[in-house]
Amino acid sequence: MSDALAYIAEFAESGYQEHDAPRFIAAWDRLESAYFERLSEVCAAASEWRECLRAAAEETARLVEDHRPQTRFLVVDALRAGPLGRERQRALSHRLAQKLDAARAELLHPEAIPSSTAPWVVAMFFDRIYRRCTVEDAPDLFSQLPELLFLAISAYFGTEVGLRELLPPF
Amino acid sequence: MVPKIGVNNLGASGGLIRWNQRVPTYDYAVFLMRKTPPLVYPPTMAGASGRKQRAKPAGHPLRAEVVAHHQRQRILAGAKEAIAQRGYRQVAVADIVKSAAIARRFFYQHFASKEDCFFALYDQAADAALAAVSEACNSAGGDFPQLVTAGITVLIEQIESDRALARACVIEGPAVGQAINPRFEKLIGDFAALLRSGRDGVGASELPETVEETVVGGLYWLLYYALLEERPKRLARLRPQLVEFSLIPFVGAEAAQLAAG
Repeated sequence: MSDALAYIAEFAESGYQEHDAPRFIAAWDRLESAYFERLSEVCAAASEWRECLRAAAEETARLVEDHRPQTRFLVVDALRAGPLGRERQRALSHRLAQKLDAARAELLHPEAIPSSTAPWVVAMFFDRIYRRCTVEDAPDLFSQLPELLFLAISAYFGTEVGLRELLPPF
Repeated sequence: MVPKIGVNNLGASGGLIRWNQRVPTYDYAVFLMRKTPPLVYPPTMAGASGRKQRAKPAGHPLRAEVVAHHQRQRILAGAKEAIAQRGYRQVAVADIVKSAAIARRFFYQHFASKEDCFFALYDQAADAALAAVSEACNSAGGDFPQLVTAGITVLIEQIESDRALARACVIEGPAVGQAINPRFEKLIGDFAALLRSGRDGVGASELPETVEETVVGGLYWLLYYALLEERPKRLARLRPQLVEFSLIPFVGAEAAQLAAG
């Protein structure tokens, strides 16, 4: 991981250099696999999709807040790395969307849900994380989770179910 | 502000007419086609052979302004094409002037740098998109789902009508780095405000204040990935889904599906 961190710091300082493509890919792969390992761990105990979504969202928020340089690299700086960075990011979003779309298994009529629902949910999370990294006074991701979960769950299970995410826990 | 014929419109700041400023085409056409009395050349402009010399275009304030306006347009069009094709980071001022087919010195008469030029292009595109969507919503009338449907339809049409512009701004915008962030925030904020004004009380009162920003932010990145795929008809196929996603939080899934058709 230390190699990846060294490259991320270098990248943040001097931007993307074509000759560093292998280092970019290595750092990206290292971070992406670490992220998916964490998601698998926190979702392992979840018995239903919504539980898994909440756990994954909380873990993502923790990683965003505690590991800002790595988050910046994956979400913001990669977009400055041309087609390579964009393609990596698109693949990551696609992979996340595939996981999210598991919600269909819990629906009576999954065919009624638009095909782009999961990419849409990922896009909303991505936007919030992007702005957390780029806007100085953006609220922390934890405080935005109820809204994001409401939107994600509403997209699959309807607004009535989604609104429960906005209720205070007690 | 509409520039007046015969008046020097350089403005107090010394700037030329802005790219996104509404220019009355008819007035210019009338001006350009009007019959003018033959020029009487002063003796100092007559050549040694007695032949009349050409009047300098810059000698007339409005002529210079028209030329400047068209030059700026050409530069922006050149920047759009070059950036859409090669990417913001790969493009230099030399590529822009080559694409615009103008001399390099003219570029610097209008823009301080490549970044300055890109921001002018970005602002113009953002203003035009917002104005088009806003106008579509105003003319659509009807209820909130109809407004959203009209707005998103026009937004997709705008993007489809000039893919190079969409690619240059939506995909290459984030490649600029930190400097683009205030513009990106403004873009999301403006469209979120439009969505908020359209719903005007529709939807649950307990929704968070920022829900429109989140919805619009999601739309932006969904369009970003759709543009990245470069598949024809991808955007058109996405349209009903974008309508549905934009409406679900406010009117519920059933009404959203109905509006999306």
